Amino acid sequence: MKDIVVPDQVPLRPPSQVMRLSRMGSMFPTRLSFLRSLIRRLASEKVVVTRPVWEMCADGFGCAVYSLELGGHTYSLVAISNDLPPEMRTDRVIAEAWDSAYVLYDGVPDLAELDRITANAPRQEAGRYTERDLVLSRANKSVRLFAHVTERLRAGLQPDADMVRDVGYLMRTTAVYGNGKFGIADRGLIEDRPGLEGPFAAEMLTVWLIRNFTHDLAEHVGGAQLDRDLKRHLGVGNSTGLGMAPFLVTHPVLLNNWMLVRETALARVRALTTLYPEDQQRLLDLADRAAQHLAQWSVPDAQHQARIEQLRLDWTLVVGILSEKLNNPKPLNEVVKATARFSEDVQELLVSLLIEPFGDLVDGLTCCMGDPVGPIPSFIVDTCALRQVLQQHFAWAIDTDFSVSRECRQFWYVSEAKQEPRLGQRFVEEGADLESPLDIARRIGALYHALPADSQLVADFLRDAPEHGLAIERAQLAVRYPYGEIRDNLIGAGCLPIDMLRCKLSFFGASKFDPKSDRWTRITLCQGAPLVDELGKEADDWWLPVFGT
Amino acid sequence: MTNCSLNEVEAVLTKAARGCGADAAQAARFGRGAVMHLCEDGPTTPIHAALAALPKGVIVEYAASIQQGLSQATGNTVLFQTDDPLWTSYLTALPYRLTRVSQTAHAIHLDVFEKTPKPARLQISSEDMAQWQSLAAKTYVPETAQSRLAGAGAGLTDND
Repeated sequence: MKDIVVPDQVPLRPPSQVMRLSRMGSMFPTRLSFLRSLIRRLASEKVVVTRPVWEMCADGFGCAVYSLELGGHTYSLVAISNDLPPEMRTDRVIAEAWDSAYVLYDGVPDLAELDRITANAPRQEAGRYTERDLVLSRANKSVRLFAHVTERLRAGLQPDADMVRDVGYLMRTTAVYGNGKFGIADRGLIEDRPGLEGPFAAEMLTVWLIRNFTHDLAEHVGGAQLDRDLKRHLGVGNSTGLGMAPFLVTHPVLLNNWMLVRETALARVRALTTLYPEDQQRLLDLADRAAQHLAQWSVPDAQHQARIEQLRLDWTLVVGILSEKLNNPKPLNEVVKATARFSEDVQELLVSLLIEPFGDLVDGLTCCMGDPVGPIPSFIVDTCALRQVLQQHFAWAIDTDFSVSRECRQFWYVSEAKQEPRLGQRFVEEGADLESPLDIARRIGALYHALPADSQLVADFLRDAPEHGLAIERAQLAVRYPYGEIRDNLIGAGCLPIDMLRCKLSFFGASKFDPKSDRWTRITLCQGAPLVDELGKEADDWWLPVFGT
Repeated sequence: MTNCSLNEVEAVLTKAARGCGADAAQAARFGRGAVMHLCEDGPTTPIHAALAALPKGVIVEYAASIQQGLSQATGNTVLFQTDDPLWTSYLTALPYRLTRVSQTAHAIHLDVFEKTPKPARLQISSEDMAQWQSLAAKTYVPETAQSRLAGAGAGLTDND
């Protein structure tokens, strides 16, 4: 029997520190992010992408199919490019037409299947799909950059490098649907397949293939090849709004596992007693790369731009601290302690940096980021024990006074228009009576104050007061999944959904967050990632992409 | 009949239960249990009946019974009387191994976490789906010009 040696680790940062919205809204992608894991897997299997179908008119409208083998299964991306009138182009969920539509297909579609997909995918939510369709997506062009790139290529020139750097993508996805939506395959059908077992792996594979399609399409319309370095910097844009935010609340086990893995990775590298010279140099090189990345990250939003600029300034100080401490005992632990006075932006970028060089130590943790069987509550017998659990895990919620209008000024709801999640103003807008159950803090507070003075079986209490079912369940989950709850009031006036979006997107591997309001953001995925013919030995070195390197 | 994914059936049943007044956790448990029931070729009659009985009835009672049975477990195995197929499906949907011990009893093994295998698809009649969707729609807020403007991305020029 083989001994399994568990690496040393320092104590984890507690949920009370980690699970705050402002910190979650400061997170950066790490080597544990799903795109990074996927690309490592593709590289380890030496995956080859073929293009069995390319039926595209000169203007770039038509259909293409890309196929690859992963983990013993064949998957194909079916890509459909449409001629979209400019007035119909919107990134909102309520859109009804897009520049392009995609299906990740289980196998290689025959002509009949291709006909079925090309008839349905452009209609997206209005279409109907089968269990062979694993992921459904759509994307709109960055009209300005796509037109520029194709015009330059037609003229025998390469696109303007500054423009490529500033925009960073030819198309942006506006939805990537998985797990049974509109009849596509349930996640359960593929969750045991090698290569797709990780969270959102099928979706990330789709995005990576879409990126490849956008390159091919531009080259087809432009009639010439894009420079490889420019192409590598062209990722896939994404517009993400409120639809993504509820996921973190409704999937506490996944949230717990993602955060726990990330915190465990940090705790492991902090426990390293010494660093080899090559690790020290790698950290310094990566810190320099981060500085370059920050220098190239600019956004129109004044408030967010100010954050970035402060981060740039602070980061130079952090790099100095890093240089000083690298020869100390437990050097990375020392660095974390010495930088605790900086902003959460700085601290979370540092977390991402410190994990990056130590794949041997942390990459194995990614197999713990899924939720293989579903929530396993720790059932609590009586209301006395329940009260103690609430006091231990939910003091942040119990202490909130929800009779104060500021604490419940917002409400989450689902609009009947394409079932779009929205956030309303409780005292201004209609619909609060149909509020979505994302008000965990308020429910916990209500449960706490409703508990009887004399202990009672929780089951009996639940029969008498079924309206507390969700709060009881969250309490029972909190015991086993301490990182599963966002420890902030999600209906308070101060709740910024953008923080939830950034947390989730950082786990996807997104960079270049470009908030357009407090409730939606643009991002870039796959920027700097290997191209389909670059899954070689350097396939994993693309943390925080920098243009021109 | 519509060829459905399990997740979309679970989602619509969960929302339908909420639309009929169930608490969110009980609605989610019902969604999982009802899908398991359908996966085992159970009829839709008890599903409709459960929804019709809200805000009382089995959707409330089954959630409390699971809470009672599992919270009072003294060992790794808990016995449940199972004379109702929908109730049995509730137990089957739990993340533990379930074994039949007699015609009217099942045992849950709390020390073995596992998922019960399910078919790839469900065939749902248009009538059933329409009814569940109309109940689910009770959780949606009607669209207004104001709410449309408050949606994420409103006011954006997308032709960048």
